[in-house]
Amino acid sequence: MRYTDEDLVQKIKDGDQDAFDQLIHRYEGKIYSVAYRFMGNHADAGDLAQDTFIRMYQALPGFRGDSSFATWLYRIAANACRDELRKRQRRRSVSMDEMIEASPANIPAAAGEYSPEETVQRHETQRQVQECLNRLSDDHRLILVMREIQGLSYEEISGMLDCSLGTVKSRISRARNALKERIKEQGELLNRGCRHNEKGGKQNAMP
Amino acid sequence: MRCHDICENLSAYIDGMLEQSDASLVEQHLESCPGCKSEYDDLLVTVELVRGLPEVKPPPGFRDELKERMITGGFIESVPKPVSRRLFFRRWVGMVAAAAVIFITAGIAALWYDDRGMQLVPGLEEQVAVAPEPEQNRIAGRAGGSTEQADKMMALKDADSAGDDLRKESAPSAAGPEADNYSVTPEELEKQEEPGEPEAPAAAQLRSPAGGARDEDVVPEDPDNIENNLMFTALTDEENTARDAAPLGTGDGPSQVVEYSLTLQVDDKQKTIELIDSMAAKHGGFAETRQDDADQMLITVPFYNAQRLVEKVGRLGAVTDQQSEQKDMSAEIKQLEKNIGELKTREQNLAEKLQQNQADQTEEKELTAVREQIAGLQAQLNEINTSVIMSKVELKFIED
Repeated sequence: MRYTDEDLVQKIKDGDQDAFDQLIHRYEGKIYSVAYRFMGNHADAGDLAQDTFIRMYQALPGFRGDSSFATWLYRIAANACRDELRKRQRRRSVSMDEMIEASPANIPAAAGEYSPEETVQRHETQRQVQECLNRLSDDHRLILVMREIQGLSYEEISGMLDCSLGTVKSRISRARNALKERIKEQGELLNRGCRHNEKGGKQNAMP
Repeated sequence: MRCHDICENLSAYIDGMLEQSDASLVEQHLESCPGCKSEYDDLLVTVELVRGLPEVKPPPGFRDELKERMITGGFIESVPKPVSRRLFFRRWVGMVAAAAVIFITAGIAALWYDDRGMQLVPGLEEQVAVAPEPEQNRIAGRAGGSTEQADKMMALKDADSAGDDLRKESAPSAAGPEADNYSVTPEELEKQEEPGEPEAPAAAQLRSPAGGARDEDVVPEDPDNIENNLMFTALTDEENTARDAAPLGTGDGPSQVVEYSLTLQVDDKQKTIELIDSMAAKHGGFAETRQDDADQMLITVPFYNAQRLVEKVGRLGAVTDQQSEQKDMSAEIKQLEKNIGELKTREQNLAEKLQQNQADQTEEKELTAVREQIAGLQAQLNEINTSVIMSKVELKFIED
């Protein structure tokens, strides 16, 4: 039988050790993705994703199920990203090359429905989009990860960044436009983006 | 609406965050204006490209590393005879699940809560405990007490409001209903982010890992640029508007490094430390007691909360000495960005040559060197940006 998240949380609270493992297994992809999109490289993304799970573990006793576990965990991840801004430099030892280089893991899960050429092309598009993200300011990247990757609402972002809804709107708008300009610089990317999306891009936002 | 206004609204329009009347205006305009329509299409594709990014699998060993970090971070006791790593992992999870974690919860919650707007629940910091991280000593607790506030604080008050202005630059004029599935009502947020039960036991203190030496005080010097330090003190509305209208992606962030130091005379040092710890967490930062000197604390906190935090800390005792120092890093940032830009141009040229097999060995080597230089400069830039974002507050205690 498949336990719900909330079941697993209760089990962890009751001291069930396997439940914690199961919960990590369930969410590591989502959380790692957020970390990777924000940090832009695997070394830092691993640290950040682990930070998130450590925080989650520590915070679990206070989780009362007022929102879904996924929403709750995503908020921890977003906060971890935000807090990471302050200390990432101390750890950074990764070159720009690694930062802008997509990893083999960074291949769409649903690659099977595409021809090999399309898959390569798609992979290249995604690599370039990540590269464009990496070139944004940290603030812009943070708000885009919150909004586009995590799918957080304007209200939630406003709460996390302690700013008004209007500010969130204008920040998201500016960050998107900044990204749009970076993407334009990549020439064909926008056109390819059109084609990929016509074929149905895989959305990775939370359910 | 004119084209400029339309373009400003396109992002919110995509998210369904415009009032119906504004949305209709945008739609009408897009039908008749090819320029704006094209902008809209590009923006939409941009958004879809990012949203379409696939999930990234963690590398192998991710969970093992997580487990090791939790052990070495001092969250848990080691088990003497691990049968296998996996079993070991499971065993310690159970061992500590009940004990070490309760008060940390509240700290995490407080972090979110704080950034949502600490004014909503005055006095919350009296109740919350603290989120520990592996590198720091953290103590949960509650405490009260406030005395006087030093005059010097007044000089810094304006700076705080300026910081606020930066964040709250525009009024929510067109707040429509949230169009996605992720919204949580304010009530939900509030409930969820309430601090945890005040039972946070002293016994649940986390052990501080060895090797607490940190070098985060390293801030690049810039003694010649004091007169440009306007951002935290006298940013007018016009300047704010100008800031907002600045080209995207350039000159976008703060460029001041701000550091405070404070000597505080207190009745009960331990209690004060506990309270400060909790306040720092609430302000999105963290506090550490010095390993070598228990009378000193270092708080690291986002620049926009630093002033408020310093004010609050100042109320916990008698301030006998207070200083703040600002350094403008914009010249350094600019220079670094310029150098990086030049190097990147060179890198691109070399890479193109290499791609067309026109590069000789020297140029290949140069490309490697250029890339290393870029990485180095980028690291410097990141370091400056980090020190700009997070202000330092050094605290020294004198016990009554």
